Amino acid sequence: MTAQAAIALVIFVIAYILIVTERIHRTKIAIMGGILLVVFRIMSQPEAFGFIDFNTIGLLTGMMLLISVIKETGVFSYVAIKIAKQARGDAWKILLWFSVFTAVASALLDNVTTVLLIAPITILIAEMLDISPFPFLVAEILASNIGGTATLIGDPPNILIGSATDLSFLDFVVHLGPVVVVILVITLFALKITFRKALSPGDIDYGKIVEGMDETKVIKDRALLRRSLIVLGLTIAGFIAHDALSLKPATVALAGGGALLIWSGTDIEKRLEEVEWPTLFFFMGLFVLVGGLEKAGLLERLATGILSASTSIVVLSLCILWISAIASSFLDNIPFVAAMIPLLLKISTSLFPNTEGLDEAAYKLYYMKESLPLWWSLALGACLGGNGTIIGASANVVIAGFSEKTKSPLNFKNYFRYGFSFMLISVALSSVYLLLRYLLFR
Amino acid sequence: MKIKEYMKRDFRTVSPGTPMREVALLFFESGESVLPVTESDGALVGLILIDDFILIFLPHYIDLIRNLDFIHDFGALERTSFSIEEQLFVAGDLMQENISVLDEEDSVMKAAAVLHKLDMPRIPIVRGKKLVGMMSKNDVCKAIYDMEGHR
Repeated sequence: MTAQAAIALVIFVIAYILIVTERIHRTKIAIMGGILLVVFRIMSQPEAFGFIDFNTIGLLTGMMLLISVIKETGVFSYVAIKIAKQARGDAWKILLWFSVFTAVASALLDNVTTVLLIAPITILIAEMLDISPFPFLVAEILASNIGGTATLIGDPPNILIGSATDLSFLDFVVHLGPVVVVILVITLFALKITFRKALSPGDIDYGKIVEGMDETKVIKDRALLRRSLIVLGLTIAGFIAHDALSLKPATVALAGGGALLIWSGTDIEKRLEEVEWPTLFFFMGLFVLVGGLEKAGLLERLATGILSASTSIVVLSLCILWISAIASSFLDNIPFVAAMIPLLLKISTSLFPNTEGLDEAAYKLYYMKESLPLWWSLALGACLGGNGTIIGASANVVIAGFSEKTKSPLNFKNYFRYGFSFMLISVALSSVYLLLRYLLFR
Repeated sequence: MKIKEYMKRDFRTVSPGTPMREVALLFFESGESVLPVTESDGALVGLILIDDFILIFLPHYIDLIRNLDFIHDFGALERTSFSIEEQLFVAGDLMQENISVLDEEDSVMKAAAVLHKLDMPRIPIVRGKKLVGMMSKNDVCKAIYDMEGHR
């Protein structure tokens, strides 16, 4: 190993350990780690900036702007109250529809914002009805991570994968959507059996409490709501059509965000304050850190090592799925996926070499098509793995925080009992899906 | 104009060991929203704000719901009571220790500025470490009124 490769590896490993142990904020580590690679001349400054994937950064920024306006409208509370009223106090129905709503919103917006808005009102409604919020919160964690798996914009690992591979929004929906729906349905069914006792009614007049709630009061500005929903709808339509229109997802997201900034007449300072700058800078630093590994030739070696163990796409896919799932249960899945992407690109091109002398674009189409199961394995493993533990995904941590002052707070132990088994079920279902759709009948 | 000319020298205090129930009663009886906590030698050790007191009772996720207009009746939550451990709270558990104080020799203008900046209804006035008075926004008004009268 050259001295350069050794330095790059040491910086990456130390940064990675510091990021996953969370003693210092991950963004600080990513910024410093990235800059050290330039200071130690592993790469030049222009090279470092070149490693930053601005499609990912743009997509995240656009969605953050869009969401920061939608948050203001009260639409999440509105839907939550409406569901509680329609369910007429039936706890299972509330849990079911809250979970479905969480899954859909997580797929179309982002799962952290979704749970930030829906979890407090869930706890409130559950406690008003004298039911433990615990099953609802477990269900919402599971639903948010499962729902987020279905689309390119639903979960950061998918954004990273989509951006690096040019897989489109529609590709994600078509390939991951079916298995996500199956996983969600089975998970909800399993939740019903698991929590049937906790969801039985207490001695309170549900009807009176629920009828007393007036959902129209949470919408303060109807014009803003209408405009937000129109722009969101157009943005989603834009995502569906982005590949056909030859537009990158970041262009669609920034167009939506930009349009709503103007049309909503909102205060720009306030909206920009709501952009999660720490997340954006974390991604930028991380891209440079992973770039260091690539530049030093370390990912090349790792890919060669892996391929010397097995070149079977069935074995590789299932290994990627399960390793990603277990790793993402306990560690931050974003740095994991960021490092896996260039590795998988190397594995794909080695497995499917350009023997027919195709030009670059045609060759990319060819090896991406052949290596699809590897990518879907990574996406399914990294996103669904987040359900394994209470620290597996940011949405989980947010919900655990909210539950602290309830009668049954979520902690590592009581969540693990349910979350880890539900995660294993979902990954097992994904294995079957991958085998049947992509692997067994090639 | 010095603070010592306008501050209230007659004020209620609690000690760090005063039980929560007595603190509640004192808030109610005095009509104040800030109570100083002092040791037996008169040294100021903290402040209890009525908001902190109410917040123990209120589930904190309610803070996160932007708009509560839709609710008329909190249902089962209305039966919320303090938990056993919360009932054992004393003033020392509730108080804020990192607090701003003013010296009795400071000017009224400084009191006005600090009260406004901190958005506090009143602030403890000390001589050394000893609590000697409380200066409220009302006391500042009185000082301003006197100043106008003398012109």
